[in-house]
Amino acid sequence: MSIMPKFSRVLLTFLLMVLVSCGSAPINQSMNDPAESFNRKVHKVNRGLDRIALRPASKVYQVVPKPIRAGVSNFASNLKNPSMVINDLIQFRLKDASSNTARFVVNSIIGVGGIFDPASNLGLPERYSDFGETLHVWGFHEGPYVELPLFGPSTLRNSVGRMVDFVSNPVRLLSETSEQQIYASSQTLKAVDQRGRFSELVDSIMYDSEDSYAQARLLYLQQRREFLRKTDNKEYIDPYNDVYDK
Amino acid sequence: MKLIKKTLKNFCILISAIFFINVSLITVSQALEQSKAEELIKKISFEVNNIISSSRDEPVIIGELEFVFKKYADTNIMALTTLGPARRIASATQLEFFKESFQIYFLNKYARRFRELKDGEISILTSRPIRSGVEVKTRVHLIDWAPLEVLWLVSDRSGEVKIFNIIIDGINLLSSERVEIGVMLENRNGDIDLLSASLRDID
Repeated sequence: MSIMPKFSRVLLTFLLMVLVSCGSAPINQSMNDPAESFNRKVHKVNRGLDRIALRPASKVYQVVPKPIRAGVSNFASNLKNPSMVINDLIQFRLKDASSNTARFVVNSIIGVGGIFDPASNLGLPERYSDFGETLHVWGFHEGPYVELPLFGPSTLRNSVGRMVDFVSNPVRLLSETSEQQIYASSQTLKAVDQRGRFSELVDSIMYDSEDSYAQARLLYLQQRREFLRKTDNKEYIDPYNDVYDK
Repeated sequence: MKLIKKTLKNFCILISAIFFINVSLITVSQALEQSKAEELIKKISFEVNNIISSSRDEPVIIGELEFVFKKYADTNIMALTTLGPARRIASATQLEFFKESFQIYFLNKYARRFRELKDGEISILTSRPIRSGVEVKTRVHLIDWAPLEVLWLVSDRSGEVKIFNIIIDGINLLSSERVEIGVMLENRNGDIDLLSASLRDID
């Protein structure tokens, strides 16, 4: 930050304050999927990739002892942490920023480079955030639903967020090519591990459902909106009212 | 003038008394419901915890979980609401058959989900009133994994205190089943009997 002239620092802070004070975008209730026919094609490709690559790989990876898999996944999560701190800061969520910073320090030092996760036991669980959320906090709307090749369900806003998180990730920027490879492999292994961990759930959506595209879309949007909402008091569909009172 | 004032005063007292009684009645009935709902979830958690921590064979465990959900879930209302508008054109026998089939499908599918929580432990956090009932918030602690938040929606509108929806980490069971059953019905050209038969067949 010291290289930045004082004026631009003030300007940046001002700009952020304006963005945050504009208020978060409203959370959609409905489905907005104008590119559905194209998305469905991508979904078909993704399903094929899962069937021939990810699913079998996750079965093989499950053979590796659990503590080792957990270590790799912890390591991968720890490297994403600085990026979350940045997002917390530009969302003005200072509590989350300090909690995630403390978590990163504890896990990197006591947790041997992030392989162990002592921070969670010390009351510092990961407070997830990403640039997609930042855009939401800044007032950008969700935009249409998209299914991305390889990465799966997303929205326009979140796809932009993904790209920004990728190019601005401080861990990636500060490391050399060989270290970047370690970073990428650990993230991939974490994804493979998660596919194995939730194998029955993912299988039931991808292969047992008669419309896996619609299920994946619904589950993604529900979870993502739930995450962005960050409040407990929501109203649900009332089936009794739906069936008896009309 | 005095008489009018007095009548008005009495009237005001009467109105506020009625209002007060009503309000207290409502809050009392809600408070009662909330504790009843928590009691139910305590019972379910206790039974589920016992079942998933046991070392019996997989099919036995799944059978026992199915039994718990059969006892404590209002699968009738879940079936009717997921069927959607099609329930209005269905005959009574068709609806009966569909409700039975939905129960088989539901128990089969979700008992397995809870089997996956092995080594987990369910604990109750809070509850609050919602339309038609109470939401009970629980947390499932898992070894090596971040805890899951599971919300149970409970109502007594069936005549008994039962659960009518479960929300696991933001994923709403009734919403996904509405989509799934809707698609299945569409794929069978709106034939409810065919849909019911398929629900029984799913593994």
